[in-house]
Amino acid sequence: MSKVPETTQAAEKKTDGKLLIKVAAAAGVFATLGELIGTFKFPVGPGNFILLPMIFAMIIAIILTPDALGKKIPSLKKIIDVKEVNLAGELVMFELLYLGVPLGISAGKNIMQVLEAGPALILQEFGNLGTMIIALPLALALGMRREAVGATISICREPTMGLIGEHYGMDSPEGLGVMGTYMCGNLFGTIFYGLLGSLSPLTGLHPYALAMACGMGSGSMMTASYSSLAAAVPEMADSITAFAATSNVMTNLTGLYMDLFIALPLVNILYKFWSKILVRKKEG
Amino acid sequence: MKKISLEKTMDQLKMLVVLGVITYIVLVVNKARAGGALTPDYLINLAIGVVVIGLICLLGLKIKEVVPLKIPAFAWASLLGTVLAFPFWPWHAWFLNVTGGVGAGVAGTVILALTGISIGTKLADLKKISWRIAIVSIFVFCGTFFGSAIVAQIIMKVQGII
Repeated sequence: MSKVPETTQAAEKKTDGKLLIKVAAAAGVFATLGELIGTFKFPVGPGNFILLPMIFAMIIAIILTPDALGKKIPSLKKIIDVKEVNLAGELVMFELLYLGVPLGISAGKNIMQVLEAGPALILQEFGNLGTMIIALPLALALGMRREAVGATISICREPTMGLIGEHYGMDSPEGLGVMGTYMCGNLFGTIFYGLLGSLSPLTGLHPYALAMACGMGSGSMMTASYSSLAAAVPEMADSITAFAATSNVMTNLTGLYMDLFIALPLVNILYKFWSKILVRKKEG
Repeated sequence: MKKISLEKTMDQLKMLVVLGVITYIVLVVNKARAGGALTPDYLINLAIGVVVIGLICLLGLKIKEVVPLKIPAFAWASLLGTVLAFPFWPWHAWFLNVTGGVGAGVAGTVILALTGISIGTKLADLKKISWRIAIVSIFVFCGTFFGSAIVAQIIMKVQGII
């Protein structure tokens, strides 16, 4: 589309236009198929088991790659081979930008709500660091390595994916880890958050505090958890809704910067610490 | 300050344009699938929205190159989106109107399609972490939820709200 200078040997690394269009078109076709298949929801307990178009798009893409069907059908490699796989990894970073801007916009238009929110709502965002404290050692004990850094840095919604995707690359171990948690969140995040919402009052924590915790994940996780929390404590339903919604706006606004400036350095420090204890032999 | 290379900028622009076109097509498919009316007005508005967002993406990439901090372009682009969407700007209504149709979910579908292609040679690694990640993610969810609830509990106790 843009004018590309017609030189064959570029001084700097230049992307091959044909290859670019091929990979982008392939991704476009997979994404379109995913969107056409649509969203499937199966109610389970207090939430839904959800299959989003993006999951279908990814499954189709994986099936057609050199390691899967490409092994059996060599002609598939004419469409997707190692060169295409590598460029796709690079393109993820650019497409992530198309995701980041709308996320930023939705946070920006609600800035007033956030300014009014008060210290508890702002500081509870640090609670997101709780993930790495309990989940990182577990992940290492289960045999994960650098994947654990991506998987446990935070609750791994879109901003985290963008950050890790650009910092380490989506096809790095860290990238696979963040994608794993992201996917689990997509699949059964609302079921689990729904359960947390209804069972958490048993911990003795105040429903207001729990309501704020409901806002820490994605919009649909928040909806599942505050609805079941409100059902468990009906006399506080209105405040619960307000706290959860504001906390979610807060998360959208600050989550990225929290991950970037605090969680990412911290998870690497913790990784070094725990891998000395939990990983006996040095391995890659 | 680093110098911005025109050649590199053109290369980035090339990728953003191609991906912008793909994203636009998938946005239209998404809207049609949801039963929305694809009026010419809507399609033009959406195209303007994608172009505006694409330019913000490019600006994000450039800021990353110029600013000597380890902040990714993703964060710059997102921050630009946030600042531009503040309610007190004169372009507020127009900006939200044109970008309103560009849902993050559709970009997510394209991202995962690309990711699916990009991990095509790493399926063995993926198999290695598959069941582990399901267990780990449950602890991740609990960690965030209770971490946040405990901090909120302490702060509100100190403030005397609860």
